[in-house]
Amino acid sequence: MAAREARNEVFVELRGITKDYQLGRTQVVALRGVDLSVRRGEFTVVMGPSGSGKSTLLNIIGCLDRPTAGSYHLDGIPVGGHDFDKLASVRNEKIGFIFQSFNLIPVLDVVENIEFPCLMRKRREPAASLRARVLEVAADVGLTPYLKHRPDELSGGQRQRVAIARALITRPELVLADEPTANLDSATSEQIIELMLKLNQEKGVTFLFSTHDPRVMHHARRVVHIADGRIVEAPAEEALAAPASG
Amino acid sequence: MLPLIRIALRNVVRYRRRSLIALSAVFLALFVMVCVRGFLNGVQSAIREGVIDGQTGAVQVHRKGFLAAMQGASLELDVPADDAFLSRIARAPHVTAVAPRILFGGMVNANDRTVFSLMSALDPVREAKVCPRRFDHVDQGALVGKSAPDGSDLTGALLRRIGARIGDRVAVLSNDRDGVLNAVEVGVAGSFPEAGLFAADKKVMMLPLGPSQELLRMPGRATEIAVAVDDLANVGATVAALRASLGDEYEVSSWHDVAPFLDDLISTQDAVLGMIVNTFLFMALLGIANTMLMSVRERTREIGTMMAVGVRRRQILALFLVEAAILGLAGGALGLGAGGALIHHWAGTGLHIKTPASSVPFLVHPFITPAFIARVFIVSTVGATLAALYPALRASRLRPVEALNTAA
Repeated sequence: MAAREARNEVFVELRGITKDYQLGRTQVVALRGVDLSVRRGEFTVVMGPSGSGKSTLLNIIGCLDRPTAGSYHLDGIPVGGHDFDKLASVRNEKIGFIFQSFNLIPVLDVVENIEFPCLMRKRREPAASLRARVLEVAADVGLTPYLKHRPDELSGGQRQRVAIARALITRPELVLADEPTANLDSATSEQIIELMLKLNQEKGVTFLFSTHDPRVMHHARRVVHIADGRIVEAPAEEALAAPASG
Repeated sequence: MLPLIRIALRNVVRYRRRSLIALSAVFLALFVMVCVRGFLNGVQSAIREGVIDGQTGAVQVHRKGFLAAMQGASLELDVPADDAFLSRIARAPHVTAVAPRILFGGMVNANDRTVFSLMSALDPVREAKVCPRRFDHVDQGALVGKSAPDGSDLTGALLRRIGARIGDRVAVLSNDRDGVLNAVEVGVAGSFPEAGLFAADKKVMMLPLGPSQELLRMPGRATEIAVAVDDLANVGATVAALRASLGDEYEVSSWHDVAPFLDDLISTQDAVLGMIVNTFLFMALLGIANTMLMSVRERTREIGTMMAVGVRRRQILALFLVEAAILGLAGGALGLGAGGALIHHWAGTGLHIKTPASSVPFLVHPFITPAFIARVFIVSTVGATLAALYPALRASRLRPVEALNTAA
């Protein structure tokens, strides 16, 4: 019952979020008064055409960018007034990122890439316990045979698995994935989606995607449509009525 | 910090060509710095030793007012040259030898030719202990007083002017202390090449102290006592002790006082060297700054990724500073190593340097001090780190969202 309640808690809450920026001489309005709530454990897809504001929305939710107006509460805390380092701590502790281009650190091998966010913390976990968790997460995403490989020695799918493992190692409450399958072939995309679904269902990690991939949308339990910087349709997650096992 | 150092090290290796260029610039700058400094140390040391061990001695004792009146009638301002007075000086701390001298002007005559000459009357045995290099350049015949008690050495130019040869007898004429012109006959024992650009340098004669005292009517007297010390670093202590011991009647001067041009020469050389090496170092550090700027530009998305996973601004700053420090450290170590090895080699073999003012080449043994090595090493590392400050600050001030959206 407690787990059920925890899953129903609103983790991300945006109210009246507006984001505009200057592009040369043009004032571009990327988001226009967006209201959105994401509950713990959701597997949500944000979809919309190019330039609709998907990435801007994810950047604001991921504390990578600040809104021009509106309020943003993450885990019940207003993060709008946080300075750079405080936001860095929030990102490190609460959010995992999966990027379209994988964005691994090229000079680090698989293990080092996965453990990197934990090593940047002020209070570090003992090395042995961290290494054990890294190996466990690497095994979860099927990377055990490639632990000593550098990113340039891995396929696109393997690199995205490293990115997923890196996103999960900090035990985040929210994973943001910006077009995670855009640079992958169909078979690999399917495997990556299956992997993320499994992590969502088994470990209760909240996933929020932006994607054009219909296979991702097919698996999503909630699809948020965005166009011209406005949410045009944001149905509540069907699964919340009948929660997934685990 | 360790993970950042690991990443910094691997980035230095990853951007091999760029790192190599920056490293080469630092290497070259430090190599030049070490070689020029080492060579100049050797030259300055050779010049200093040439003057101190070949002419002045480390300390000189005169009658009060002698140095100011040296161009005039200096014979009246004499000092005792007896064993008691010399022993009194020799007892001062750090003194290893003392040698009485008379410096005077006179004429030398042979074959009906008379030429003005600058005379140095010496006690050959004592002089060899105080100024062991004074007789280095006697290249023909014997040293003063060695083959005969009145054997003298003249420059080759002086010998030619009076048409004399080694083994001949020449007359030396000079006014004594009372102004009376006297003469004494001495033998020509040897000759040495004329040094220097000035005519005066070509008319030098060294003769034994005894005949000179007889000529000048000043038995048991001298105009100058030259003093050798165990280490030039102790000159100050010896001067202070002698001043206290001899009192106001005498003036005690260090080689700095009697050859002030040496300090001027050395400081001028050091200033020129400083300009050269600082220019080299500045160029090398510009290279580092440029390398790091390029690195920041190329790795903007990587910086964005790091920021996204929670790396703080000061950690990004530290990452680029550490990379620059590694380049400075490695380039510095290589430059110091190569320059140090070359200097070490030259120190062993010595370098024969010939100057236009001298007909005799002098041997230079270049050297560098541990303090200089440490200073240069610190300057190169700290300099490289500071040179990267602007690129590193730029990297740390990037906005994560903009850095992530930069094309790879």
